[in-house]
Amino acid sequence: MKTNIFCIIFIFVFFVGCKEEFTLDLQNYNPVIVINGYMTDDIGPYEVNISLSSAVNQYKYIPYSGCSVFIMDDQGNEEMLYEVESGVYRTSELGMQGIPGNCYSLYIETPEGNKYKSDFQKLSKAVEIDSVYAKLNYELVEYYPFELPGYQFYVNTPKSENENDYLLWRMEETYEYTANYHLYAIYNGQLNFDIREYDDYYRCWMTQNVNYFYTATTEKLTEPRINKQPLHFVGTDSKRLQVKYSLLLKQYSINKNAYNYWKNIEKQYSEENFLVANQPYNIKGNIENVDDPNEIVFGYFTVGAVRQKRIFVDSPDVPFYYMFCSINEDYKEAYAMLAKRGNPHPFYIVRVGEVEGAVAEGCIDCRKENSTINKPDFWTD
Amino acid sequence: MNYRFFLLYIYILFLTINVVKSQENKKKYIKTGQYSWENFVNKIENQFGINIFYNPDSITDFEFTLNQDSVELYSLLNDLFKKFNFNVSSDLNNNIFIFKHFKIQNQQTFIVYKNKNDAKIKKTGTDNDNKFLENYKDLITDYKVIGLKKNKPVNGKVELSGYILNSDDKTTIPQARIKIEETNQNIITNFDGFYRVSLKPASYTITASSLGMEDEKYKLTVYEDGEFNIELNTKAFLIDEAVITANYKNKVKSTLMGFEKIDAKSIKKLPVVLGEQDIVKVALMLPGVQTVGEVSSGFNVRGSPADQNMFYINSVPIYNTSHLFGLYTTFNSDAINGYSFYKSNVPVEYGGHLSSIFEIDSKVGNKNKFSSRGGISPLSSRILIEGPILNDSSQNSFLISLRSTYSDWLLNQIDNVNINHSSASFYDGLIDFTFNINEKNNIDIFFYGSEDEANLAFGLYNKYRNIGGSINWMHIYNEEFMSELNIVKGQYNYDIENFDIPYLGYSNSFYLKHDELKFKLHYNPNENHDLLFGINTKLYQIEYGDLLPLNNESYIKSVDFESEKASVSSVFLSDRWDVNESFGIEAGLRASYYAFLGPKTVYSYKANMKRDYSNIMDSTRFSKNDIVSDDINIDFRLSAKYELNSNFSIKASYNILHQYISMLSNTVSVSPTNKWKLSDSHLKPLKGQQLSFGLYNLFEKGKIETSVEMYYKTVQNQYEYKDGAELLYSRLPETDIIQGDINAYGIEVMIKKNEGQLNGWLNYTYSRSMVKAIDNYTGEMNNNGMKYPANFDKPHAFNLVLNYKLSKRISLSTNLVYSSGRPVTYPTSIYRLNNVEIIGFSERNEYRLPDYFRMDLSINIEGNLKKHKFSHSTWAFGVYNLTSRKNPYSIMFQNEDGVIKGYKISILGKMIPSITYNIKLGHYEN
Repeated sequence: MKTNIFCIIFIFVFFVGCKEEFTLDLQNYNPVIVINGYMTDDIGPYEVNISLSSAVNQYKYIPYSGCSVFIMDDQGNEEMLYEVESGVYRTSELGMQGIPGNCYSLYIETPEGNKYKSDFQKLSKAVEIDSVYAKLNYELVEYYPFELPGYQFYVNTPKSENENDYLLWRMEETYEYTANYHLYAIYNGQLNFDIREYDDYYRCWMTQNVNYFYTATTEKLTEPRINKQPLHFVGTDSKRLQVKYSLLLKQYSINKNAYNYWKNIEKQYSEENFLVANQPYNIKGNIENVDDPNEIVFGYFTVGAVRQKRIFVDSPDVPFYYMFCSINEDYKEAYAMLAKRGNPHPFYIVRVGEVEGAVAEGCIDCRKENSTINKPDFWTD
Repeated sequence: MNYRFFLLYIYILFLTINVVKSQENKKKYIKTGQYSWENFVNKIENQFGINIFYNPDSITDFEFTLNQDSVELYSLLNDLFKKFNFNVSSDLNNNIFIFKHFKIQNQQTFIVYKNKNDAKIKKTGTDNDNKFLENYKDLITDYKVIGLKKNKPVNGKVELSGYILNSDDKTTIPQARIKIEETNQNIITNFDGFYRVSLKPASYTITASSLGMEDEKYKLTVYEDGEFNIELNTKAFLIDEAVITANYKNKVKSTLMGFEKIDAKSIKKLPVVLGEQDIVKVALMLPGVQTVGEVSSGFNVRGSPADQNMFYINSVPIYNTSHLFGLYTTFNSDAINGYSFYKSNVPVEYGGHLSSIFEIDSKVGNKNKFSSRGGISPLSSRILIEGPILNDSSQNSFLISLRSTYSDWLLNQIDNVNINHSSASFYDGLIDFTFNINEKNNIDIFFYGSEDEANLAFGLYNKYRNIGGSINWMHIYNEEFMSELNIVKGQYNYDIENFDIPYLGYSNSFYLKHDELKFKLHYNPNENHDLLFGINTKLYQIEYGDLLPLNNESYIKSVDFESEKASVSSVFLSDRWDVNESFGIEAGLRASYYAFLGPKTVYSYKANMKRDYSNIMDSTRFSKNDIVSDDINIDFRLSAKYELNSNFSIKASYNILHQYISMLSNTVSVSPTNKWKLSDSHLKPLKGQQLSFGLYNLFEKGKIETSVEMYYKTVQNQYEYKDGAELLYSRLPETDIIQGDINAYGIEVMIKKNEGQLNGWLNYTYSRSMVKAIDNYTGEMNNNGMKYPANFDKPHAFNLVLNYKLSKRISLSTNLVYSSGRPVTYPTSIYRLNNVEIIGFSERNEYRLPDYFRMDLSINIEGNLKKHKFSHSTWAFGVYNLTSRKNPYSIMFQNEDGVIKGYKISILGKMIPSITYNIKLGHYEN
């Protein structure tokens, strides 16, 4: 993320404190309905998420159950979505399919009887992805005094037939990583080498959504194509680039109104230039309360064709800065001390060259929440 | 970089040259003894039974040595004092007078007073034991006869008039006072330093005074109409006090409300950031003046946006008054004589801005001798050179001032990639030529320039510049008529380049040309009326500069923006009428014809609908200089004052003003890359009305000035931005703007102590400013049409400025500023979209940032106060934000890997010390 240049100038030139974290104390908080749905030309099902906003200090996911949700097209078709999970409403597998050229809209009725609807939006033809690629880069991040190496991802699109395209990019990443060390033995007073199962816990894969999105348009360009649009940056301050990294890019071809909405949201959450702080405001989406158009509704019903592309990048030959595990060579004494107090936990012993010592469990076991030790189907080796 | 080294070199040169010792009053006499002057005087007076008269403040105690046994007293004194331009003279009674401007003449009679307030007329020569009192009240008078006795009118009055002048540079002194003892009249010179009074033929004792000057007393016998000019000398060795008005009596006497006149001396004494004196920061300490934040480059007067203030320096318009993101002002305070600040009752000779006018006067070069001064502070350095043109006897002079920063060099030294790859620099300078052709004609030629350049490591380059020049010709026809002609050319422009994302790189520039022609005629038929008549034409030309792709890598399509041109032609007339001793009225009218000129393409929109690209109906094309739209508006001003007694007055005023140019900005604070826009077919001129009422009182014989002023003002057709307006690419700004209303009111209380060892001022303001953005023509609205506080609405504001003279050379000064925090739109909820936490906001400006509090302190140490020395230096040590309070400038919310974190951003949130070294040629008083 770009750092705040004005802030840094002042910090260093005038040796002044600049940013001070602070928590707001707001008494009145009224939850606002949040509706986020996508209708694409991808094979269904399509999902609409309905939740409530939470107080600003603490983000909490508050799903909104029990709503009746419908997607309509301009051909007279209508489908009701089923709540598969609290707050998550989905079309059926054999249900409606998004067809480029058709228009779609969303209609929701809450258990309280409030009715919300979106406008009809045309599902435009997809803009293809020409290429997604990564370039080794050094980026300045706030919490490091030096430039952090990593991959900067970019996307190019081919020359489009349309004069003006509006695009939204969302990303999902999957990366292969390993534990810091191979387990040598477990020590519980003596070294125990029956540790075959730990072989499996050395290599893991993690799949998660990338917490950024990007927008662009060809409206103001001489050529209707995107060239080297920067996406996110993955630094070597985590294990993401440790073994192999894969990015699944989803490119949505949306309409102008949807683009303005997502662009303004993007601007607001990445707002860096505080010296000329833009006046913040609630960005209005395309869903409104039928009976009260002035009611604040968050979220958007995005209709657009989607194209996906996956790339793999290998680990770069640069320094890595994730936490290293310290090896406690005096583990036998430490264990003995713990044993005196009764019931010590087993120590995990590793051997690195001449050094032999104990490490934390996370150093030899790569498993984390949402990780898997099974190689994903799409993974190439 | 070259010119900066040049500056440094000049300083070093001056420093090395200054090895000349300050001259002492030692002459090589044969040692008969060493004396201190005061002891010597006592000894001589007692020994010889004579009186020696001198002003103890002009001649302080000093040591000298008598090296001759018998030396005539008169010639000894001559030797001692002549070189300091003192005249030594004696009368028939062998009383000796040692004064700069007084000398006993043959037929001269003199009258000696015991003290100023207790005037007793003494006859000449009979009383030997009249002595001057020890305090420094000048008691010698001079006697003049005006006219011939035989010509005196039998009945009726005669008229005495003339100018009060500064004897150093012969400039006139406005608002100086002439007191006539016998009739108990007080007359004040007008803005041109001219006074006029009607008197019965008789003898009078008059005293002319002005703050900071030595009083001059005269005895006059007036038989016929006549002219009598008085020259006043600057008080020598008087440590400057933070003087705010030229004459304390004027606040009560004059009809002006919301007016402050600030001179260079008061600017010098206030503590400032990084040791740079700053005239704009002084104004911030006045009641009714606020900013949105520490480094904002504009300010808000009485609840109005920053673009409703206008700055002029010697009539040259200045559109951006700050350097380095608002840290410095673009004027070298060494070159500034002072400024007049009109914050409600704007005189009709100015027009086009609703909230305030700042008319800054540069100094006029020293007409007698060459002089120079400068200073070095942590971030910048400055130099000023002045002197006579051609030779000493002509009344022409020049003045050049230059200031620059070495922030570039400083930034390079910082060990951080972002910073040492960034640069920010500025310079500003001015040149003034004054030609006093004869006593009736004065021509002033003035040039001004300032430039800022910033290159930020993350792909942003920006340069902005203010330049301009003016010619001012003042012509005096006779005592009644005087005219002034101003020809002004000014320009503000900026260039920006953005190369953050290469394929979206662009460049854009902006030019605003502001030219003016103004002709003013002053007519003073008698002392009760001061009429002003004039015409003023302004020509605005704005070029928006195309948005261009930055280089080959950029895919940005260039966008053409149409330029704009408009002229405002006005006629104005005003009169100040002193109906009687206590009641005075001032009224003014300014009629303006505003014409927005082609070439221009004007679009028309569907009626009563959103003014949006989708609602465009038609377009009309106008050619060059066609009148696209025009407007006739009348500005009106009326104010009245009623003096209950010489210490207390009540004033009220009402005015209507119009403004034709506004700044385009949807940010909270003022950025140097904001564009300006003229009123046109869609965006009507702004109209402002203000009603104010005030009470003014003087305590302690004028030493303490107090005032309470209340105001209520409205602004119509204020530009408010629709939420999310994208101004950069906007070819049709009318689609981004809603013209709404501002309502503001407030009460300002001010207490000032002008004199004494401890002086300063204190003020408290309670004010509100609310905006309602509903467009009358399209019905579009912000914030659902509900009123919301303006970005600069700060209900409470308190300022304290104190100066304390520790000794003749050391003075302390402190500022205390407290104000409510500015309104802010707070996040009130969070929700998640696309795996990103998004913030939901409250109503616009529904909440408020924490209060602002700051205290500054500074110490000024002057070099020695000897009157004759080659150069004089001053050290200024200051601390800004003594309590290190992290005053929040804004609240920022950042998404850090999925977690929203709130940050209070404070700029200058720690104690910032500074040291400045100032040096100038000559003694300190220059």
